[in-house]
Amino acid sequence: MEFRNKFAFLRGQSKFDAALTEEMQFHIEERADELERAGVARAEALRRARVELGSAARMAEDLSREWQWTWFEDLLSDLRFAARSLRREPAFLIVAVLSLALGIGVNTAIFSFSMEALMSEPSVRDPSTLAFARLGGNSHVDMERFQFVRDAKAFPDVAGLREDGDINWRVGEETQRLFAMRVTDNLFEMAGIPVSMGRGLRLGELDTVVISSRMWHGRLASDPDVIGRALILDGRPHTVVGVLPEDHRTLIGFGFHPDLYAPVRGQGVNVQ
Amino acid sequence: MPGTLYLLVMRTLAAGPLHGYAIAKRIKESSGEFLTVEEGSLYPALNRMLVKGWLTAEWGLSESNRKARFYELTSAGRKRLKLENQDFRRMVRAIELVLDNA
Repeated sequence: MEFRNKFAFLRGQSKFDAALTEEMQFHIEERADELERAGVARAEALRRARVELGSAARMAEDLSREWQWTWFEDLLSDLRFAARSLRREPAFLIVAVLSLALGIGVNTAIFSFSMEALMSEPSVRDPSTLAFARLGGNSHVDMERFQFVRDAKAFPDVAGLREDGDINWRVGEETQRLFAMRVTDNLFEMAGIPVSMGRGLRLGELDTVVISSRMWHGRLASDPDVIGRALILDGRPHTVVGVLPEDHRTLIGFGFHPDLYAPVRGQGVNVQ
Repeated sequence: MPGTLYLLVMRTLAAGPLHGYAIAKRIKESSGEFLTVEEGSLYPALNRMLVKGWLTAEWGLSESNRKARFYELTSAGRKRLKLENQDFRRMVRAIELVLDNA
């Protein structure tokens, strides 16, 4: 009830003020009439009536205060004041905005980083069965030592990958540099990396590649017949055998997005 | 006493709508010229009662043929009046008991 009444008041405040002034005027005149009947001159009677009533303006303010959400008007005027002072002090405004921007930015960065480091999982069949190993403390080892570990059968299977490979792709008269992940031929089967089209790399293959969805959509114009298409890579024809899903994540993580996976011809290690 | 002004105003309006000036006058007369309602508190009180929904106000013409604001008791106001009336009488009786017997 009170709420509804107050709301109705807000919509007609000027009418309220006028009504109050009129009501006060009525009161003064009635009182003056009474004084007049008691023998006071009209002018004096009006003056006395006015004095008795006191300041109508003050009363109007008191009255309208009761109809309002005073805190709300105060809040609005505080906001107006804040906006004005910010305009007057651009240096302060810039510092405030920069602090906010930096704060938000750093927070976002930390959050994204921890999400990536702690929460995300690579696109494989079962991440809990995989372990990452470095042989002899080196980031990469040569193929011989890799094969030695694999043949030792200390683990059910061992696959290797090298993430920093560039590869040259010849397109007509041009050559483009692609970012390639070099992997051992068993990696796709061992880790169970899903593909959205075609298949993964297979044992014994040397001239096949699996391309990323970005590579397929971007450089190959989403060619529907991309499986089986030949790409000239480092001067040798390679066959596209598979396309990775859009949400593919490498075993390395951290926003690592190679254009394609190609079988290794050199060295590199990563183990299960 | 706090709250008694509401009670007096509502009791005065129980007989029918009146304008502010008449309310003050009626209270003064019916109290045997003993109670004077200050204008400075009457209008704020009327206003508060409007906010609470106990009264409604409407413009009309006074006996002196001037435009005046007439206040009328709502049904919520009537209920409130009954309640406050009982409370007040109970309190007066209690005070009398103390004054007589303590």
